[in-house]
Amino acid sequence: MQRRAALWITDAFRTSPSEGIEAIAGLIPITLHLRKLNGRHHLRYMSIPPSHAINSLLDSQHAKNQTPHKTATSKLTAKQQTNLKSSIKDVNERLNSVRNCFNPLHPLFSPGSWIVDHFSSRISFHFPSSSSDEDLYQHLQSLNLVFRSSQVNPNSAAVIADGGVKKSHVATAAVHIWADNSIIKHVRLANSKAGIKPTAPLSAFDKKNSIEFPLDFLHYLYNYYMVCALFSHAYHVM
Amino acid sequence: MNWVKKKNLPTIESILYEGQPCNTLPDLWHALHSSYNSAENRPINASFLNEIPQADQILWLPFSKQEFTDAKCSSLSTPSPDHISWRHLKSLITNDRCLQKIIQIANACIDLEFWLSYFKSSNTVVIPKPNKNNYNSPKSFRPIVLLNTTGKLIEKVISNRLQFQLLANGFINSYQFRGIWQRSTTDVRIYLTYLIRAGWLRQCHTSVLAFDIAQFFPSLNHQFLSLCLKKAGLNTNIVRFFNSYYSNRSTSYSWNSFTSPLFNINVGVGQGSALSPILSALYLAPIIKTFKKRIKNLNKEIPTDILSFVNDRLLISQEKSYSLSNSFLLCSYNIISKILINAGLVMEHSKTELFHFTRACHPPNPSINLLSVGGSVISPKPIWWYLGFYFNCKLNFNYHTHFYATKCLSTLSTMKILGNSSRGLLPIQKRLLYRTCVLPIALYGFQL
Repeated sequence: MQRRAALWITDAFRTSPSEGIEAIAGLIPITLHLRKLNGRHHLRYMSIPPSHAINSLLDSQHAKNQTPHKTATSKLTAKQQTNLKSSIKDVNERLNSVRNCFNPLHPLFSPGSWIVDHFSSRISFHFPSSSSDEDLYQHLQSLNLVFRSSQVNPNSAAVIADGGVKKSHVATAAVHIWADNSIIKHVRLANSKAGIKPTAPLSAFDKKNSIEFPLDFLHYLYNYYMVCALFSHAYHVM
Repeated sequence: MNWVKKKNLPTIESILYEGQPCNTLPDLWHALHSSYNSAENRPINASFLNEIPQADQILWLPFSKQEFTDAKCSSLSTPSPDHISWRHLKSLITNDRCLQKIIQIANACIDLEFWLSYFKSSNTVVIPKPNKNNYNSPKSFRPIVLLNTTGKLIEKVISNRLQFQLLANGFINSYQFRGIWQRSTTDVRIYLTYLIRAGWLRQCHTSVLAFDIAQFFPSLNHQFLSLCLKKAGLNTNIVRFFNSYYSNRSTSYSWNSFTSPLFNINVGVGQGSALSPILSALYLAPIIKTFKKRIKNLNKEIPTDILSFVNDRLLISQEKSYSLSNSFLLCSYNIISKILINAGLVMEHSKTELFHFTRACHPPNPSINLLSVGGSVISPKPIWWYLGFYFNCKLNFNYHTHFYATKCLSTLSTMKILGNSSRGLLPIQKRLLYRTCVLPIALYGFQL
C-alpha cells in the first residue's frame, strides 16, 4: 500500500524499488512508523489519572493504588504471563524503565489555581515566534535586551529554560534563575529512555508537569516583584 | 466544477411521524419537536442516589485569564443566530480589556446563579445519522444545537473545570469512557481484548452483551442531573447556576432553508454544547455505581464487568460454561434496565447484541433469551462490529485488517485523479494528503 502511495507521490516508474521511492517521498517505512506510534502509545499510560480503568490491569507498582482486576497481570502465574499476548504486557515493560512520575490531578494543577492565574500581571513570557534561523536570531537579540533590563531592576528575576531530545531517547531540560547578574538556582531535569518531552521547560510553567520546579518558582515570586521567563530555543531539537 | 456539494435533506413529505407523512411545515416542526423531546414528562425515581456516598466538596475559584485563552475551538464551527464566529472571538480575547469583560460576565453568572437568556436561545440543525437504511423517521437524524459563541466559550471553561474536579474527587467511575480526559476508544478496546485473552489463559470464554440507550442526550432529566451535581460535591450556588442554565431554554429548528418558530425545551442536554459530554458522564456515574453495588449485594455475587461508552454499554461475563455466563448476563441486564428506568432513560432492546469470544474449534454459540426483561431472543452474529472495530470470536483481526486495507487501497486509486507527473497536485501536497487521509485509516487500531 505504502509503495503504491510512494509511486503516486513521486511519479516514478512502476518497477522502481520500494525502499528508494519511499525515501524520496519522505515516508517512513510502515514497520518503523508503527514502532514509533507504539512507543508513544505505551508511554501515554504514564500520565493517565489514577482512576483510569487500565490501571487496574497493570502490575502493582504501576497500578496507582487501584485494586487490581481479577485477571490483572500481577494475578497471573508465570507460565500464563509468558503465554499472554497483549499490549498491556508491553506497557508494563516499558513503564518499568521510566522513573519520573507525576500526578496530573495534583491540586496545584487545578484550573484557577495555576501560578499563571495568581500572578498573571507579574509574569511575562517570551517565546520564539518560529524556528527559522532568521527569527531565532532576532529573538535572541530581543531576549538580550529583556534580560539586561531585568538584571538592572533589583525587583525582578529572569528564568531561562531550554530543552532538547537526542536521538537515543535521552531528553534533558535545564532551567536557570537569574537575579542581580548571578545564577541563584539551577535545575536540571534529565531522563534516559524518554519521559519528558522537548516542551518540558514550557510545561514546567504550565499545568501538567513536574511539581518540584513550580514550587521553587512560587518561592521566587514571593521574593521578587517582576519575573520574566525567557525561552531561548524552546522546541529546539539537538 | 464544484468539489463538494451541499447535501440537502429529504423533502418534508417523506418524513413519517406516527405513521402519517408530514405534509405541511407545522406538521414537520411538531414531529421533530415531539420526537426529540419524547422524554419530557418521563417519571424518575431518584431514591437510589441515597445508596451512593457523597463525594468530596469541590472548591470553586474565580475564573482566570489563562483558562479563557486555553479554551480552544475550530474557527470553522458554525456560529449561532447572532453570527459571531470563533474567529471573531479569538481576536477579541487577545485584547486584554475584552477578555477582562468576558471573565467578569462569567464570574457574575456564577455569583448570581443565573445564566443569561441571550445565551439560551439556540438554533437546532438536523443532520442525518450516517449509514442508515432509510431516512423517513425523525429518529434517523441527529439534532445539533448551535449556541451563542460567547456563551460557548464560558461553557467550555466551566466544562474544563468540571472535568478536572470530578476526576480529582473520584466521582467519575473508572469504567466510563469517552467525553472524559484521557479516556479514549483505544483504551476500551485494549481493556476488552486484554480481558478476553487473560480469560482464555484461565480456561474461560468471554461473553459480551452490548446494549444501547435510546435518544440518550435529548432525554437526560434536569431534576436528576441537579441531584447528581449535588452528589458530586458541587457547591449549592453552582447547582443553582445549572438549574438556571437549563430552565426556560428555547430553540428553533432548521430544515434545509426553512426555520421554525421558537419551541421551549425542558429536557436533555443539547448536542453541540461544550458541557454536554461531561454532564452526560456525570449523569451515568451514579447509575454505574449503583449497578456495581447491587450486583455485589445479591445472595451470590455476580462477577460481571461493565464498560460504559456514553450510550453504548457492555456487560462482560467470563465463565467456563455458557449457561452460567448467559444467566449472569441476563440477571445484570435486568438490574441495569431497572436502574435506567428509574433515572428516566429507556433501553433500546432491539439494538442489544450478544457475542461470545472463545478459542474452541466448533463453538456452540448459544443465544440468550431476553423475553422476560422486554427484549427478544438474541443469537450472536459471526462478526461483531463495535466502536469501528470488527471482532470475530477468535480475536484474530483478519476481517478488520481486510476491511481497512481495502478502504485504503480504494482511496489511493481514486486519489490518482488528483494529479499526475505533468499537472495537478505537487508531490509535497500529495504526501500531505497521503499522510492525513490514508495512513490514519490504515493504522486504525494498531495498538491491539
